[in-house]
Amino acid sequence: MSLFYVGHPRETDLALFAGGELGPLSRWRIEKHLQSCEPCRTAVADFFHLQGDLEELSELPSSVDWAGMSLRIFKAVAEAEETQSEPVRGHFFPKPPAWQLGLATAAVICGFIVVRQFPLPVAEDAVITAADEQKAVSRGARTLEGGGALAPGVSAASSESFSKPSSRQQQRENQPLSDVDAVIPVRAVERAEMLAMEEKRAALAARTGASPPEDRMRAVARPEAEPLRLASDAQAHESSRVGAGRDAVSEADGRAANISATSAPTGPLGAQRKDAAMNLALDRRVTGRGILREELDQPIGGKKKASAGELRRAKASSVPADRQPVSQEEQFARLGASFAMQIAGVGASIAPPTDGSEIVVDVKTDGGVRFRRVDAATGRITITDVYAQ
Amino acid sequence: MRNKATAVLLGFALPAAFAVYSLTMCRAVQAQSVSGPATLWQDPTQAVHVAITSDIPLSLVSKDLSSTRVQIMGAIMMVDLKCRLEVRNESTSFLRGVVMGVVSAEHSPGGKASVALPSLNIAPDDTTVLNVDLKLVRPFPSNTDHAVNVDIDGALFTDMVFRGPNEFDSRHKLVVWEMEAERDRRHFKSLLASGGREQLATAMQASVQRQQQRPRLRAELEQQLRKLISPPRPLVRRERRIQVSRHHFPESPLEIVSGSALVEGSRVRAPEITVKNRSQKPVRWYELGWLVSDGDGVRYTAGLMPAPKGRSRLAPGAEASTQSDHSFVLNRGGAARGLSIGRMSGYVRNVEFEDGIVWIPTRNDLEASSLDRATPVSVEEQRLTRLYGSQGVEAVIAELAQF
Repeated sequence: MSLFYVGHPRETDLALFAGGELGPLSRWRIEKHLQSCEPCRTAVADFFHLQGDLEELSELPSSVDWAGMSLRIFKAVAEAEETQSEPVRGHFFPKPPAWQLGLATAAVICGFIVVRQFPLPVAEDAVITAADEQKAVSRGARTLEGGGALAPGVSAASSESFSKPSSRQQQRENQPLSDVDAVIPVRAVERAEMLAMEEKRAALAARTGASPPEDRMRAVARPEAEPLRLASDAQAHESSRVGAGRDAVSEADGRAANISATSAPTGPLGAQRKDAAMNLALDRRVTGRGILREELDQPIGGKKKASAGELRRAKASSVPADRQPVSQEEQFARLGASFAMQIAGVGASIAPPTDGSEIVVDVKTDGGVRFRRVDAATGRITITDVYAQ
Repeated sequence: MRNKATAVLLGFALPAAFAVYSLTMCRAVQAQSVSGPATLWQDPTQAVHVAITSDIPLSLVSKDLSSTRVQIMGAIMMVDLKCRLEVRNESTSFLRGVVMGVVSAEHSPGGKASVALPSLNIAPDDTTVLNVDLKLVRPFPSNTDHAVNVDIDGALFTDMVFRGPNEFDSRHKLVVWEMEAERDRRHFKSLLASGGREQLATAMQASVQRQQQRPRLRAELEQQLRKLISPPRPLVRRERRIQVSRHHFPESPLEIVSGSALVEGSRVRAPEITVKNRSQKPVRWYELGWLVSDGDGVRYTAGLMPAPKGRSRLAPGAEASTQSDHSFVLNRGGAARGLSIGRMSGYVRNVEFEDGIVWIPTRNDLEASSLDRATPVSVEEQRLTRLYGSQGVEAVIAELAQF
């Protein structure tokens, strides 16, 4: 039975589910749906195996017209702003007070129900708020928007989906992916971020000398330049990565590769971009999934983001001493080991230990994998079958 | 009038609908959410559940999960599962093998695995230790009572007596491994009887050398389907379809009729092999082996090709096709990674008839087709050669005497 689903979940939801990035409610709904839907299980399996291909996402083509893309985005943001400034005149709703009353009543009822449903306190690091999920979704949606200009580098299948979205597709992509999330205008967030960026750039220009106005304009117009600016500021960089999701990671990596490959601008802005590229390159020490997990591990919600040190201390206080990880690097090393197995063809969330034991791997044509491992201590042989479905 | 109706609708019906919707959603969230804070799930005894089905004559003597580590990172739960189970053989027969099912996320790909310990020889009323050592990554929170369920899916005793729920095809796997073990023990026993310990030692050394010199290949599953963004690739693939040659075993109940695959460099896509049941009995399950040769004619084992899913029995004379829509990239690892696939071949690894009888190729079959140089040795041969390497030929003779 497809509980709450008429038809099938969206492909983006399935992709997020496969990556373990959905909220609890969405995951529960999709799990229920997958129990009875073979095509969606297959789709999830396909997406799941895609995790091993994350490395390829950094190989964005250097021939992309970034300036043109940024101008188009800037133009779209301006248009959206104009549209939003006009009040909504719904001829369907002749009595605004009744509508407002209804909404207010619904909000109170919903709030009451929500409070009643969660009497127990839940650990902070186990909760993903709707607002944070929305942030991730917003950034994901922006990445999809940007994908339209990546036509030279995308495959036929991807360009079919993202290269030239129709207005209806565009609208759908901008919608929040989670059904319980509050609606936050994506373009408003982008605009606010760009305004903040503009202010900071103006201050920087005032300190270090004037930069060409067209460069400033381009930097303001390009939302994708935002992480480059933030990379020069450690805390802001941290916050930019929170909730960014895998698309943002690959987006940042791709830009870093692009900047290093193409001619870097001169002057202070150019220096900033070089710094940013170096920062992003350092992040590549960790796998893409590692970065993603770090993002998910951040305290989330409307409050200020915690620093890495605060995060470590919070973790240490919630984990028994004998089970505390040695360091965050160790966690990432483990993650890396697990996902390295995926890249090696395992394609599974279950992997045998990579402790140097003798392992014989047999890939099955149905997508499963068989490991034969000899325990060095006992000489006993263990055979592990990991199933694709 | 219309405006009033709309106002009533919006004022009362809409909040009511919202309330019902919110209530439903909250119930769903509550059902999904954990029954306590995240720290509870970091307790292995809460996260991992171990059970033995009542119809399996094994009893759980002790369970040690103290080395298991559970870490929760946002919406991800990482379980470094180190489960040590001590079980007692409560039957009157020797225990030959055990398969444990490990389920972390049943409906997610890769969320299910089985861990098998073949080639055991546990006497009645004796105990043995079963170790499960896996790394699991699964979404958090869990919508089940336990993040990981470990169950004994089947146990094989002497005379091929199987007990257990068999949800992971444990019976078939254990019987195949046990038959291979019997075959190889018989072979080494005959060498011992005919040529004494020297000949057994020579055979052990030859086996060790063969295992070391076996050409290794790393097969990677390539997912070109549903790729969101991928690096530029040529629009025109230069794939060529090659026919799969067959290794014929005279006694094999299945015959490989035809087979093909699309090959481009070291990439193989959509391998397909059709087999025909030439025996007089219906076949329930079979497994094919798949080899590739490079330009120099060196053969490598590429992987397993299980029977098609949702299969029905293969009647005598009937044909069945094993297909895969996956794409595989094969490489040799190390510096000389590149591999240009020249030929492909297939062979029948094992067949299970409807009556439960299992067929495996003989050692003569494998040697005659030189498959023994390309395919991995059996679990039992590997175990015996390791015993030979660590304790010498006398230990192997003593081990063979126990069977």
